[in-house]
Amino acid sequence: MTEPILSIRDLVTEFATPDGTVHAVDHVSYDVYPGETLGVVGESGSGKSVTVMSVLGLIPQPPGKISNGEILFEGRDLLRLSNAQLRKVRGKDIGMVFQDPMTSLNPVLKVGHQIAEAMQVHADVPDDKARLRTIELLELVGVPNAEARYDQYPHEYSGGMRQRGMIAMAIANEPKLLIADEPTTALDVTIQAQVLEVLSKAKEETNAATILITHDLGLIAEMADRVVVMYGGRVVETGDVDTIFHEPRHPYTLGLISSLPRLDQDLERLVPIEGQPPSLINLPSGCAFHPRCHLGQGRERCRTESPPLVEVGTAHRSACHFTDEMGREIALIESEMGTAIEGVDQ
Amino acid sequence: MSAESPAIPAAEHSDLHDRPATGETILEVADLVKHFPIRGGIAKRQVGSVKAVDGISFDLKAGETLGLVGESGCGKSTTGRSIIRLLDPTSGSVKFKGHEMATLPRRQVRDFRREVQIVFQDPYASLNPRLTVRNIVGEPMKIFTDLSTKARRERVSDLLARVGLSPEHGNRFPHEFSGGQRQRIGIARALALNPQMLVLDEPVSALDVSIQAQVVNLLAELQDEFGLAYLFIAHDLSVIRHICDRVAVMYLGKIVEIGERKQIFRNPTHPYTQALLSAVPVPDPRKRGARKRIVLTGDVPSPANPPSGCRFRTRCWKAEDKCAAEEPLLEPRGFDHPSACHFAEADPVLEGTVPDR
Repeated sequence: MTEPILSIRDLVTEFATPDGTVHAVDHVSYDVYPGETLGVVGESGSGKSVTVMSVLGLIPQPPGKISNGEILFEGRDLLRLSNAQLRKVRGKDIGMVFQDPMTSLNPVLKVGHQIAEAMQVHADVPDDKARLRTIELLELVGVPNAEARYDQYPHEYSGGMRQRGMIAMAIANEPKLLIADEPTTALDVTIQAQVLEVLSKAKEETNAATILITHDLGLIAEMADRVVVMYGGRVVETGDVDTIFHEPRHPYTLGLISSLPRLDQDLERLVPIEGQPPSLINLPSGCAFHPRCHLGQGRERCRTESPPLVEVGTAHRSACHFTDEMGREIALIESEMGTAIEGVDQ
Repeated sequence: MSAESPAIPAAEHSDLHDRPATGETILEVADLVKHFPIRGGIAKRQVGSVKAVDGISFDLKAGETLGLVGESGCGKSTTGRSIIRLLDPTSGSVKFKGHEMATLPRRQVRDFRREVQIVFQDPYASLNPRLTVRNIVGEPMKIFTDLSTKARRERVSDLLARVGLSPEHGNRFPHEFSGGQRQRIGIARALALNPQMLVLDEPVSALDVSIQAQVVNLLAELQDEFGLAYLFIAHDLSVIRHICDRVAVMYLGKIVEIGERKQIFRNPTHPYTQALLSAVPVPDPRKRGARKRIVLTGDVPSPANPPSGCRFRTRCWKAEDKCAAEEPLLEPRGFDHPSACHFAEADPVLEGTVPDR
């Protein structure tokens, strides 16, 4: 098997708050392999963004603190690098696209200039060459009139255009890893479709491994090869995309799927997850999902013992004490929704 | 009724508060227009206008859900707000049970508002942070009815229980609740006067998916229980498909296609509807590539300066000269539901993803 390009091992990121320490990321481990798209899905406060912010060294310290773990990028532990060393990795070997393109571009600098700068910081590129290459990149991501657009400011770009600009910047140095954190959440659906196409094209061009962080299971289903599901700062399930959607082995993953209204199906009813997402300040004991879990039914073990992430199938892992009861649980939910989740046909 | 109740002659509006029979048309919107002035220069003279809603018509029956769907800036929220008179329409007619509401004097709008309430998208901004939940939910009753403090208190407790909160929650303030719980509070407030119709303006867009499903189910139950009509405004087509009986698709201030849910999702005839349906990600990896992909070029034009003729033509792959010259009307054009496209053509873009049943 090929070596992972990024390997997060036992990462703990915590924040000091007036109400106590918040463990935003709680012993998280996952790998990203060359060329693949890894989808990371979870609701607000699940720790999906804080994990990659930790990878990029973008956690403000204090109040934040990475108190445990390793982040191996091509074998080097990013947590042991100095700020200067990390700056050489960030934006060069690892590209980033964030949710809000207006706040991640500098409003007083021309867009083209900012993209060219991203190249010139990392390599000795003369101005005229950087300009030409930037215009090429803008054309690649589908910005019309790229030459004229080079000299415009972010406010002259629409939301979708800005996000294209961000993608152009992220791939300017042909990174080995691209991290896209909710890249299309702020965009309308027809613009989202355009930006996703650009992301796919950029990926083909650079063959970068991609981490796609989103709360949208639809995007995960369309884009990801493998999936990491997070809840309450922990990884609760990982597997390939087909397995996650059709043979989930964690009740939270199942709950997400049964909560979704479907464009492609008439459902009798949605089967939501009961209760509220946990407060990270006061995370439930044992399995953080237990107060909302239909499968656990308040069993002692769920309340007292944190379930480890264990192998439940080929490259499929789940953190639940009662995974062997999931088949019955799925059948129950299927009858309520009036549709099939578990399918054998490929 | 208290002394301050609206001075409307009783005979004239006597049927306003009668519960309608299911299937009876309660809302008729005709040629509704809402333009916002753009002012410029030193004298702040009007130099143009944003044509947020530019002549739309539809109706709504008792107990029915009509979905108003479109992307940002298409005018769907302005439509909702103009209907309940949070905004004054520029022109056009809004009839509630046959009574004209678009031109009703402000004072008399109150009587109509008892029957048509609104739930907003942002549960953080639409609840007064200084009032307890009890006061927030009880306020409409304080304003509109002469219920005693005790009777109001009881009704608030009932309402909170009905939307899935406990009566003790009444003593707390909005900041103590999560987004989903706040949306429940907003729904309880909207139900306080036992209205006939709710305008739901993106009621679940700000919520996480597990919470969104709870609120969607709650809205469906409440509709069955109280026979409510919903005008459901949303940008999420999956939610629209799950909850609506009929759907109107808006683009730049116009309705481009309207019909029964099945007609819109199975047999869309307007290119914009088709593009929307083909762009929404489907949460099933086995259906990747099963559907036709229509990726539109360009962005939505400004509603201050919409294109001539068909407003969608600047992004449309079918556009010809006719589209710039002549505005397409919303007409059946030989199909089972109306479409505003000169070249309307049924194209089941979701085919391959939708199981037949």
